[in-house]
Amino acid sequence: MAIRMTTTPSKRFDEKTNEIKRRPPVKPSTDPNHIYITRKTNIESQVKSAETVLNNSFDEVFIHGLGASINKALVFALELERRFGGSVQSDIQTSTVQCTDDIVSLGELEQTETRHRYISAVHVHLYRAAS
Amino acid sequence: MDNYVILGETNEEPQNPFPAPFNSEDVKVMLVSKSSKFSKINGHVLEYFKENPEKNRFVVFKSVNEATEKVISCVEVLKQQFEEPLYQWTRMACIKRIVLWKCEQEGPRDIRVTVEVPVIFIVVSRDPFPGEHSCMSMQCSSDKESAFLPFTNAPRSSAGKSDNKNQERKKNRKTNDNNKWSKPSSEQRKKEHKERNQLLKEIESPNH
Repeated sequence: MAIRMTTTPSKRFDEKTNEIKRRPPVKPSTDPNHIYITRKTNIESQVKSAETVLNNSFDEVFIHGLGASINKALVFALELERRFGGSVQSDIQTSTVQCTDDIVSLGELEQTETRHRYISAVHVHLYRAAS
Repeated sequence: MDNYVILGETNEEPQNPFPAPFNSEDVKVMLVSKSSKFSKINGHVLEYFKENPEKNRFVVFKSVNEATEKVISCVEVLKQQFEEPLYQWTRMACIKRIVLWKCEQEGPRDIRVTVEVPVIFIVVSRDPFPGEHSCMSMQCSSDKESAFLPFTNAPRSSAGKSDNKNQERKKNRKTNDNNKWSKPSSEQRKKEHKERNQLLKEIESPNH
């Protein structure tokens, strides 16, 4: 019994007969100095852990925020900059990230469709300024 | 804060963080708020670029009221819509929002709350930026990957880590093969059970 997979050109689908499963977006790196901010991230605790990373193990930290968490990522970067004073500098870049969703038909379980969404992302590079 | 009333709110707007000519007064600044429409803003910018292609070479985007997501999305859409490569320079600043709370009762003093709200400035230019200002915050729409991201196409899976952990756990696990007091394994128990059943059958059989 093969699973049929197709790509839907339209974003619309019937929510009563289909279920959507969102795949997590691909992370550029899994190193401990790459911090991914989501809507559920606690900024205070994350700032503390980023501080320890910058003080002990790395000279640079990468902060990534996707979609609705872009503002939160920028708040996080500003807070880190404020805590380190002038000893830390930042570079910002933006990009578009492709996310994939699986649309599973509730009637025919073997029928699955994929849908691609494009989400804006921000990447902040915080690094120790050369003294 | 029951007895406190907001007396006033002031915003300390940040200045345009870019050097000349991107911070001059006659620069086209697009203020993007949460309710702004992509089509209207991008249509306006495209028209501005087409209006006088020799003079109108860049536009500054600025977020209003924490609409940083919207500005970034707007610029990303504009880069896709525009046929030529566009050069982008992103800078971050913060608005200082000072709120003054006045106490209605006598005694407690007034409270001054300062909140720092991020603001994003993005210069979108048709020409490359001058070399003396070169930094990692600059990017081009023709760039396929972010400059400071060590992106690898190798598939990442957490299964590898857990496999290693399982192997380590298996290595650390004590093997009690020689210890007769240890708890018998499931295979040993099955074997014993089988032997016991066989013995019982032999005893219960009518030949005996």
